[in-house]
Amino acid sequence: MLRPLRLFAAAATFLCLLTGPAFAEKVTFVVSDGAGKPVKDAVVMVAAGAGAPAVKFSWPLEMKQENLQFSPYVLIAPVGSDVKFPNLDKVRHHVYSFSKGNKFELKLYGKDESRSVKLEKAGIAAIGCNIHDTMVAYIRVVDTPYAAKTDADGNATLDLPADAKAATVWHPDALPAEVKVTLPAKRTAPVPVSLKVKSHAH
Amino acid sequence: MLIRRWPIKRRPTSRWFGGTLRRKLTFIYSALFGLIILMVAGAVYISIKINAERSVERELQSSVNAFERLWSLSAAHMESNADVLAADFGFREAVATEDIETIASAISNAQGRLEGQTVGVAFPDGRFVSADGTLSQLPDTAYQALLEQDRPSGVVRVDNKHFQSVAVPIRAPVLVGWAFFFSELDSVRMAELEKMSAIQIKAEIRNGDHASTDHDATFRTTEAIGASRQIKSFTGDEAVSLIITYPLDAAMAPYRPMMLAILLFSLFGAALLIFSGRLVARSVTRPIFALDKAVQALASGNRQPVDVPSDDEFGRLADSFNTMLGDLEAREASIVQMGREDSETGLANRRAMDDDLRTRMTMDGDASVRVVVIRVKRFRSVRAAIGHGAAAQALAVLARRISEFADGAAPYRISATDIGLILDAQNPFVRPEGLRRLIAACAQPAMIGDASVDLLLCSGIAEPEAGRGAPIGPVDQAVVAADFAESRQEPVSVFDLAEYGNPALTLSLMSEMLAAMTDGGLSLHYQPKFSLSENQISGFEALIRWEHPVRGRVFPDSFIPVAEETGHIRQLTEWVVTRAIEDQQTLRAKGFDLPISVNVSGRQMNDESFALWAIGKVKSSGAKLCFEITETAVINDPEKALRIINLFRSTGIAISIDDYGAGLSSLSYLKQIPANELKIDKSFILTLTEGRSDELMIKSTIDLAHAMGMSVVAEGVETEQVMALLRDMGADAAQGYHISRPKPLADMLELLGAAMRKRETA
Ligand SMILES: [Cu+2]
Repeated sequence: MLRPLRLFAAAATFLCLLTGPAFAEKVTFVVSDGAGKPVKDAVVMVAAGAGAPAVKFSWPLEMKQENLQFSPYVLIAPVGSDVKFPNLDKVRHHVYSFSKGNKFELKLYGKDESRSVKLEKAGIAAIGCNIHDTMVAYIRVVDTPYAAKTDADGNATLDLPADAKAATVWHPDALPAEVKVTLPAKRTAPVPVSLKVKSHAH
Repeated sequence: MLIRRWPIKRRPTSRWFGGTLRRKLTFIYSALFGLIILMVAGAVYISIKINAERSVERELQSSVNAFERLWSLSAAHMESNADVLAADFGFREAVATEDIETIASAISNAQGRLEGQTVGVAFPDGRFVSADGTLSQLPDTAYQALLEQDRPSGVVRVDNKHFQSVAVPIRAPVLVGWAFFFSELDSVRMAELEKMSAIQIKAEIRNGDHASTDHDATFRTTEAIGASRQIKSFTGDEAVSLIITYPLDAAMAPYRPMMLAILLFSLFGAALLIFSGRLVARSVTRPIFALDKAVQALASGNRQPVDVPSDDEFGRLADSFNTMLGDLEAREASIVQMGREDSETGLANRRAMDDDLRTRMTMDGDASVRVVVIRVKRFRSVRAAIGHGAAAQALAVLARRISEFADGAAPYRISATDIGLILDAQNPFVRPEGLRRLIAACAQPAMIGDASVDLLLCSGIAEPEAGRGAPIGPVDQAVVAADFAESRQEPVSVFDLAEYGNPALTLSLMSEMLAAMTDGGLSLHYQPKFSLSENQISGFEALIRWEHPVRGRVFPDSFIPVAEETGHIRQLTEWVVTRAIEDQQTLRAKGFDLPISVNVSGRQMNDESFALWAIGKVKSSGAKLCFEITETAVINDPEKALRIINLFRSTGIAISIDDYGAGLSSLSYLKQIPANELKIDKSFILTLTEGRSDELMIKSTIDLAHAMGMSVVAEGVETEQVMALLRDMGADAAQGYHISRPKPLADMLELLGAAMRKRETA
């Protein structure tokens, strides 16, 4: 199994060299609300240009149900990927999404059962439970490898190609939900992003 | 009549306020009672009204509160229905996926289940789906309410209809829309509310007006009481109110019978009061009316006693009135009596004589009556000396004597000096000789107290028939006749119309007198004073003579009093003084420097300007004059008269007291007057030889005059015998016919010349 991975890495490096922006740079985004409070779970995305690597993330693609809550609150998933919905609660859930293109329904399933759903379309899937109205979560289905969500400090770091021009920052409870951020020429300093977030149940 | 109407101006009487006292009293009582009834009824009405309104207000408040409870119940009900719908999984899916058809079927299904409610769905972008599947855009205000409020609820107005509405969000799990529930606040809903109240209220929902933030607001219009309560509007910023009203009419309705009863009671009471008020007023005013009538009758000369039998104030007033009426009659009789009576003597007066004479002449005819007037001469002097009371007494004595002598004929005192009689034409005393007898019989001095008063009498007779053409009545004719008698110094004179002549006589007399001063009609005669010690003429008294071209000789007694009355005496006196001075100068020219006496009226003795004139005249001419005055000259204003007398004395004018003893014999006056000379009246001297007791009196008078520094002249000396007597008694001079009658100046010159020749030969 090791070889094919190396090969894949070598091929990716090669591809990068071919496509020009061979030098990846780490860019940190700091998302805060108007009052300077860090905003957690904001998704920072930069559109993938030609020669971008395959869309793959380091976090597990799963939306757990735990303590009558979805976890995580926001999940970034590549388009076309299968997302698992493991039930860690003793009760049963009836998970659904009526979001356009990513509509699904996972009828009642019990503890330690897991279902998975293939998310076909880039966009937002708002996830609810028909039994528990307070259970809400969001999956941001993306078609770019340059996507990350902010931590508790509001920081998110992306390895971006040098020619990346702009980023999109989204949060389900923000109004407006998305803002565009133009990247500065010099990438050494963190990029500040301001997002107005309504307080939510979490 | 003595009753004077009160000088109160009567106000014009109005029908209600003026007029009779009875009406006034009735009106005042009724008005007062009416006022009280009105006030009571008003108070009752107001308290009833306040009470009624309060209870209605309470009822309205509770209705409003009930409405509010109903409202929230209904809202809660609708909200729960909406929640049920919004929670339905299939419905949420339909909304989330904007499956319009499914949504429409779901809401129309819900509408069918919930009667009277309309259901709809709004999408987050403001599109609205109704039960029939049509899409419309929500009004901005409603959309805004959805965005701002989680679950808006309240009144919303659509097409002028009011709805109670709620909206609940539909989450799947994010907000995909709102479920709307509406319930129209129509007449049925309002009727339900109205039915809940105990009273017949009217409920309605209104926008804008009447909205009040005060939850307990009640209000009042002219016809109704109302309560309003603001209702939450769906959008939150619209003013919507529930208005509940109740007609005032209805509020007062339960009390109407009671108020009617009060009104009827009041009317009945007022009627009763007017009736009884009239009765009371009548009982009060009847005696007043009777009194009023009696007073009015009295005012028109009709005396009626008042009959008020009550023993209250009115009864006493009536008694007083009746008593007063009696007094009035007595007093009136006495006044009538007084009108006919001379207050000094108690004799009947001139008025009585006129009345009685008129009666006699009417009854018996003019020809049957004669009027006689008997006068006391110089009565003024008598009165001045002994006082009014005593003089009147003397007159009363005279009247009694006359009456006795004339067979009881009633005497009248017709003036201060005159006694009148009405006698039959056949009466012997109406003929001059008879009357002369009567006068002579009555002329003895009267004793008044200790004083003896001489009564020098003259009289006049008038025949009413003969004097019919005269401008004056028979009594005045007799008075005029007495005037003639007095002036001619005769005892009796009969009124002669021809002699009396023109009534304007006095005025023409004066103008004729003034003319006579210049045309020679008026002249001075002189009577010598003969000095008894020197046996020669020692002076003259100037006496006025008037030869009238028509009347003949006019005696001083008939024109001097007129001149005194009319004020011509000053001119006359000045004329006499001027002429006397001229004549004295004539005498002087002939070598006879003798004083001349001039009679000066008492009136002149109070006339300072005359005094100054006379003094000036005497000083400028160097004349030697003596003014003969009577004692009465100082009676009117003694102080002034004495001052003037002293003035004359100081400029060399001698003062002589004339007619001393005629009527007045007051030594007190005599003492005051600083006279040079006293002239004893001829009435004393003429009787001197008749052996009367006057001799002693004359002697004592002479002595007294001498003691007071006066020389004495006796007048009326007609015989040598008298002159001898007087000489013996010490009189200084004599005057009279024995020496010479008054004659013109020429005669005097002759007399003086003869005497002088006689002395020269002697
Ligand atoms: Cu669940």
